[in-house]
Amino acid sequence: MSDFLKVFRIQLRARFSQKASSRKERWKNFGLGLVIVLSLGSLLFSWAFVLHGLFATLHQANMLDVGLLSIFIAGMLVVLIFGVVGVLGVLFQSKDISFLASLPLKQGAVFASKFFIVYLYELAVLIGAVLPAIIVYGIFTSGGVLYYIKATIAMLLLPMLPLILSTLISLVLMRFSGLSKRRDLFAVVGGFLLVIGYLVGQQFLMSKISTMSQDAIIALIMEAGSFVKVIGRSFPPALWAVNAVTLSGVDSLINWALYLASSLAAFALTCFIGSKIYLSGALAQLETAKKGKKVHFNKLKKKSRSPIIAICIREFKLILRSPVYALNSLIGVVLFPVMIFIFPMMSSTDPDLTAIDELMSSLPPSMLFVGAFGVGLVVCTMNAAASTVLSREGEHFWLSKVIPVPYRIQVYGKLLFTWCISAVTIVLCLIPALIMLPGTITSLIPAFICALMGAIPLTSTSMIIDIARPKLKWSSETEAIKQNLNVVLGMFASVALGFIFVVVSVFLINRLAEQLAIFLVFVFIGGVALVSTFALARFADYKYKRIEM
Amino acid sequence: MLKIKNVSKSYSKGNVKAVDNLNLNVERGEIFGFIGPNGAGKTTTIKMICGILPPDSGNILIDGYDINENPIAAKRAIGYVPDNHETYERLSGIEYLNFIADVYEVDPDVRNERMEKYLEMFSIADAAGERIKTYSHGMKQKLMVTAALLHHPPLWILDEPLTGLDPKSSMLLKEEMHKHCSAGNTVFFSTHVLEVAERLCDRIGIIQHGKLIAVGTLDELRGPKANETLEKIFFELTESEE
Ligand SMILES: Nc1ncnc2c1ncn2[C@@H]1O[C@H](COP(=O)(O)OP(=O)(O)O)[C@@H](O)[C@H]1O
Ligand SMILES: [Mg+2]
Repeated sequence: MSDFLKVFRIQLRARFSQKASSRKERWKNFGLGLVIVLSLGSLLFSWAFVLHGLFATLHQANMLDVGLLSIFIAGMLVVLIFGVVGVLGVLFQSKDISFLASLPLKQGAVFASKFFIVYLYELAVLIGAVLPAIIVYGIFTSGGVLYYIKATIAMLLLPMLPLILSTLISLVLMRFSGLSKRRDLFAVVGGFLLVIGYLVGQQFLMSKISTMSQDAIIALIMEAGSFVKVIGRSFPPALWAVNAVTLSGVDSLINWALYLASSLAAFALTCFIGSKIYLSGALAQLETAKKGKKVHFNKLKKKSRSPIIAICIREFKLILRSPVYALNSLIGVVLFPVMIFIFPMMSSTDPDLTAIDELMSSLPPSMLFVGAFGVGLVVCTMNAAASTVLSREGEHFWLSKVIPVPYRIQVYGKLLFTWCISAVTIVLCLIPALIMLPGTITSLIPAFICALMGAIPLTSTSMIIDIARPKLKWSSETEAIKQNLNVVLGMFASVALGFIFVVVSVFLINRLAEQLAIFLVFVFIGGVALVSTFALARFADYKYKRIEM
Repeated sequence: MLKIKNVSKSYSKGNVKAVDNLNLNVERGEIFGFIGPNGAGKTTTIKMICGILPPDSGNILIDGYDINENPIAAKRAIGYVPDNHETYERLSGIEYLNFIADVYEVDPDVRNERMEKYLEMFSIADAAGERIKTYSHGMKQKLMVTAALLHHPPLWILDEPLTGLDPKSSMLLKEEMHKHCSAGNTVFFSTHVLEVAERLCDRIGIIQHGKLIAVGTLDELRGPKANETLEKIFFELTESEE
């Protein structure tokens, strides 16, 4: 067996193999699988539904190819951005690097096997995004078996080029940051800048499209179409992939040749580069720059912290100092405020926002309240810090059991920490909204206060999920946070809870006088927050001591 | 100080009985050595004493407090040094110690004095400001020892404490174990290095296949055959059990 296969297999095994020993456990896994399939299924279905509407319009304009092309390009862009995060985690921040480096293996084989691990992650996400598009396209063109085979092959290869780009970016990033003392910070900031750049760029494109004349819809689609073609030309492999799938005969073959050759050549080149410089960059990550700061004991602080605060601060330090954790769990903090901030900036043809402000203020305050409350809840649903709150402890979990702090107090410290993340997100969203729409302040402030309280049940539910089934055995931080089902489960639970909250407030507002209704929403959310905190504490007391390690 | 009564434990993911009906009393002011071959159940026992693992049956009392009924009071009395030194690698040594002092509620003046004393003694004071990630195995071990002693625990528990320490640190640690006992505290440690147990311990317990097969002072274990080494006794006892 080649070195590549050996390393690839052992990594797959380390990541995915799980023995369900007892019958009960197998049923549990089955039930869990069912929940996931159902939730993912409904997500995919709604995506396919949206695509169907979009493609129907494109079909009328005879521009179906453009639709497929834009989905392919969007998928590749997502792989490009999230590939950087994945590559950083698996190739550079994984625990097994020094172990693998000590084995008599070719550097290129280690590199390639780790590359394919990331490839699998990205492919899974990409299939979710692209497969519905392929099927919808197939329905509209009544494509045959050949079409589906071609489309599947093209899809399986789709992550290759963008992932190679993100690998090269990461290799360069690691090469340079290896020299810098604040390497971790470098990676975090670099990653966030990429995400923000992506968002701004996307919003910019959207605004270009939506500022066009409102009556000529076809013209707009034509515009958008040519726009996508421009991008297609600037990133030809996407165009080749689409042409290879949609054209026939010689044209198709030529495009296949171009697509496959470019993917293969880029892969070979990357492997070559990786086999030369990968390990030195990865091993440099194991060294931490010495600060050389001497501790002066007589000058140390003269204050002690309460256990709750000490635990909260420890959690913050651990998250912020790990690029993988920081990128994955703080993404919402960056993403949502940026989206809320740039969206009106760019999509409005009228640079003067007072018109919108007046319009919004003229709405009944109760509607504004519900809307803002809903947005405030939505931005809390992506809190991976909460849904990996125990998993992240991994092998350190023994310490939580040994310290003389009741488990309930420990989870209060952690709840404070995860709530802070949600609260910061909400406040960061509130500020741009208030600046842009000052007329709405009287409905926004109560809505955001309710959202801040609503964040408590959302985060504590995610925490309960992770405490119920923590993933304490992992070999890399990526595994703890990215390959952790609890993140997905926590997100679905948060969305469901947030939905219930909004429904209840709409119900109250429709029935009662406005002030009273808002007050009752406040009381309701506050009550749920109290109950959920209490449930979290009780559950931690019950579950912590039963976790074996 | 430490009472273990009829304690048994099997891991849920394995059919081995790791600890089998163990009974043990350790008195105040003793250094107790817990010896046995690899896989005998030493770490499992220690994890149950510290509250990391729940026993399947039986009770463990620390200073009169049951670890499962009154865990906080019991844990307060323990200072634990684990055998692997998995800890928060992204914190600096001093941050870790401050965290430990916070959760054990050690007074700031007292903690700074003790930190300085132990870090200087183990000559890792210069590294205290750096991330634990940069520490060697031995340095991590010394940091864990310092952390366990910050609150001057009445019961100090160490799992294989001498593996990986250089001769000087290992001597210092043994001295510290003595001092801790002389101050009226109790030390309970596991080891498979027999000479250490022989020279250091007031009493010794030998565990094999999860069962305590002998316990007593060195003289008691020797029985009529005076002058026998612990090594010999150990092999006689463990072999006859096979
Ligand atoms: N986490 C675990 N899961 C299952 N079995 C374990 C686990 N830890 C230890 N064991 C088993 O329990 C027995 C005792 O192990 P341990 O207490 O670690 O021994 P010692 O510390 O004396 O070397 C061994 O047979 C070991 O295989
Ligand atoms: Mg052991």
